[in-house]
Parts: sequence; C-alpha cells; structure tokens
Amino acid sequence: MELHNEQILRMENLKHKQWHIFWITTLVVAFAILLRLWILLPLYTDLTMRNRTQALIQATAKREGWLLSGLRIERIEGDSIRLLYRSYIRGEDPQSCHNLHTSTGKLTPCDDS
Amino acid sequence: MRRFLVLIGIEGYAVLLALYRGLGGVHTDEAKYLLDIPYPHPPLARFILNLTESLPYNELRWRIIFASLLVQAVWLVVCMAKKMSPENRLTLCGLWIFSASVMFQSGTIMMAVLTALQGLIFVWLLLDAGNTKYEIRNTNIAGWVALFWLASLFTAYQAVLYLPIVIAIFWKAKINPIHSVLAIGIPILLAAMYVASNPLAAASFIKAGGQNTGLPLFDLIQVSLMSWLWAGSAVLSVAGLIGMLKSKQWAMLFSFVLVFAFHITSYRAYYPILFLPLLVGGVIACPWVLRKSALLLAMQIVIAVYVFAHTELAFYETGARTVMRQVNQLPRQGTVLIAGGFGHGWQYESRSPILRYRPSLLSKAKAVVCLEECPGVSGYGFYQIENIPQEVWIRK
Repeated sequence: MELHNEQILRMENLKHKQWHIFWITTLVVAFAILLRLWILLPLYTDLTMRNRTQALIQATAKREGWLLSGLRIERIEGDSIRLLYRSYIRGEDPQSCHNLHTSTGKLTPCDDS
Repeated sequence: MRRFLVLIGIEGYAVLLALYRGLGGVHTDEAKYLLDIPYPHPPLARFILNLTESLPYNELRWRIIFASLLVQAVWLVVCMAKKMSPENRLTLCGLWIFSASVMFQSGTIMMAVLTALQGLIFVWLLLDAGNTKYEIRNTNIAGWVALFWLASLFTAYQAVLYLPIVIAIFWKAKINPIHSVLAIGIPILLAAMYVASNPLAAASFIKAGGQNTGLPLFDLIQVSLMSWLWAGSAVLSVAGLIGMLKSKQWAMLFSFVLVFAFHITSYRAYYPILFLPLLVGGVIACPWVLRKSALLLAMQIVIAVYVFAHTELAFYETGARTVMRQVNQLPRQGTVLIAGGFGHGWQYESRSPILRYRPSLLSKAKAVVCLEECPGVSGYGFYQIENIPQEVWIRK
C-alpha cells in the first residue's frame, strides 16, 4: 500500500515536471529567437535599410562567388553590417567574418576594424 | 522468438531500401540536412544529423536509421490496431509495409519521413482517446504531448498539417482550456518567429508557396490525387479515406484536407508520405474497411510490385559524386568553382570550399566545374579532365 502511494506521488511529480520542462524549453527557444530578431530589427523597422541590405548582400555574394545559404548577418551597426560566411562542406566548415559598408558597398575583413 | 525473427526480417527490408537509396548520391535537400545548412526547416533534426558529420559512412548510417524508423513503425501500427482481429492487424501491417511511400521514401534523409512518423504518433494519441484508461493517461502526458508538438514543429514546419489532430488530442484531454491554447499556440508562434529570424527560410517559404501558381488548378488537383493514391499504394489510400469518412474522424479529415491543400500549393515528390499516418488512422478507426482483408492485402502487394517494376530505378551515382571523387584526390589547397546552377549535393561531396564561378576568382581555385559555359578558364593555367560526365578543369 505504501509502495502504491509512493508510485502515485511519483506520477504526480512527473505530471507537474513535464509542464515545467515544456515551459522552460519554450522560454529557452523564445529567448534564442528573440536575440536573433533583435539583431535583425533594423531590417524590419526600416524599409529603405531592408531593400538596401538585400541588394548589397546579393551583389556582394555574386561578386565574391558566395552561396547565399552560407551567409549570416551577425550585427547591424550604423552604416556597417557584420557578415559571417560559412562554406558548408564535409568536415570542418571554413568561416570568414566581414564588414559590409552600406554606404560604399565595400567589404573588409573583421580583423581590419 | 517469432517476433524477433519478424523484426530481423523487417530490418533487412529497411536496410535493403536504404542501400538502394545510397547508390545514387545525396539529394540536394538531404545534403542541406546532413550539413546543417540553416534553411528552410528549423534546426532540431538537422542539428542532430550534423553531430555525426565527421564519422565515416555518415550518409549511409542516417539512411539506415531513417529507413528503420519508417519500416519498424509497423510495430506502432500493431499497437494502434490492438483491438482489431489478428487477421486484420496482419493486413494493416502489410498495407503499411507495401505502401509506395514507405517503399520509396525509406532511406531518404528527408524531414517529411520524420514528420509522417510524428503524425503517426499524434494519430495514435488521438485514437487512444477511446480507451477507458484515457481519462487517467491524458492528464499524465499532456505536457509531454505539448513538448512533442514543439519538437515536431522544430523538426519541420509541415507538422502544422496535423494541427487538427493535436487540437483534438488536447480537447479530449480535458485539461485547462488556457493551458491547451498555450500548449498548442506557443509552439506555432515560436516556429513563425523562427521564420522571421531567418531571412533565408522566409525567402524559401515564399518561393515554395508560389511555385505552383502558374499551373492550372485541374493539373494541381490531379497531381495531389495521384500523390494520395501513391502514398498508400491505392489500396490503403482508398481504405483509409473511407475509414476516416465512415468513422467521422473530423480531426483526421481536416488534416487530410490540409495535406491535400499543401500538395496543391507546394507539391514535391517526397510529400505523399504525409498522407500515410492519416490513412492508417482511418483504417484503425473503422476496421469495417478491412472486411475483405486477404483480398486487400493481395491487391496491395500486386500494386506494390507493379509500382516497383515500373519505376525507373537509379543505380548510377550523381555527377557531383563522380566529379568530386576526382577533385578530392587533388593534393592542392584551394576552392572549387562551379559555373551554372548546382544543388547542395555538390557541397556534401566536396572536401574543399565551393564558390560560384567568377573569372576573378580563378586565382584561388584548384578546380573548376563547368555545368554551363565558363569563359576564361582555359587561358588561366587549367587543363580539362577527360572521361568524366561534366566539364572539369584542374589547375596545372
């Protein structure tokens, strides 16, 4: 009888814990996504900035031979966009960091800044 | 012992299907998942696939795992059909094993396979609601169901097609309605936010949604009907739909309509499998459809053999694999330039970074693959390799 009560208690605990796990997972996922959205916020709030960034990134990718799927916007600061380019291959993927100047369209390695 | 032998036999079938799939090469979408290229789907499954990237036989391993999951899911079907007679249960297992979508999508490393399996679990949870013990069980697992719903949406967006089933599960669970709304709605909101945070995913979403806009509606409906028939090798397709209609399984029917509408807007050859869990659910909900079970199973096997015999089987490897095997043997460091349109399969086969062909990048390149004309390469110290399906140039 004692064992039975213990089992019920354990099931009750598990019942509560599953919701805790769900809410904690949800919060972690939401936090990670909100961080990304915060970085991209200028693209959502400023139409001119969005169009210009899109055109600049496409032109740069074409010039450098990059695949758009390997590009990631790391930061948008004033007239500069920090881009991370990753060449997806088998094994370790080579990565490079660049600053793209929105006014001039010039691309410089992150190390130079 | 008998069950163990059946398990081994089914596993042999799964491995054979996986090996067959592995003969050709990596499909562009498979490469996208294996390399964890961040679009269009959320990261959960592709992150897991990418963890074993450096291990040998990575592609084959995942093919066998995916094929095994799909084929061995027949045990879940057995569990779902526990109220049926042994004869009907055996027939249903045969209908699953000999479904065209199981035969031809086993061994593909595609998210649609995982989504279909997740759909099967949702259908199981829904149909299990009829059990007398459900009242106790539902409250105990609602949180896990919510977590599984979140995981399904973060495996592939197509899980949303099973939304009516998930709503029905929570509805029958009789938990706090606010709790239910949040448990169903927040994962969808998070998936939508993920799309917004990933411009590439958003762009591919828009592209996929509009890919069929130029086609006549009649053609699209015809393709979607064929896809439904293909999913269950016609026999399970028809029996499953009749079962859903006769048993008035509205949640499954709504999901069926959503999957059908999804085919109309964004048909791909690997989406028919999304019908499969609904068809199995339809048969289980209305075992009456299996009253001539022996005949149905015989017809299913005949159709499966016919489909298999009339399908163009590809026993040759892709151009990407052939070319990159040669290029990977080059000792020189440098990039590989590719002129023309190419899929992620080329990246998967390559050991060197791949860039789009630009004459100004020739100085960095160790090899150039010309899928279309690439001007300037011959005058830049490259020589062309012979006896290879594509035009490939190697630095001298």
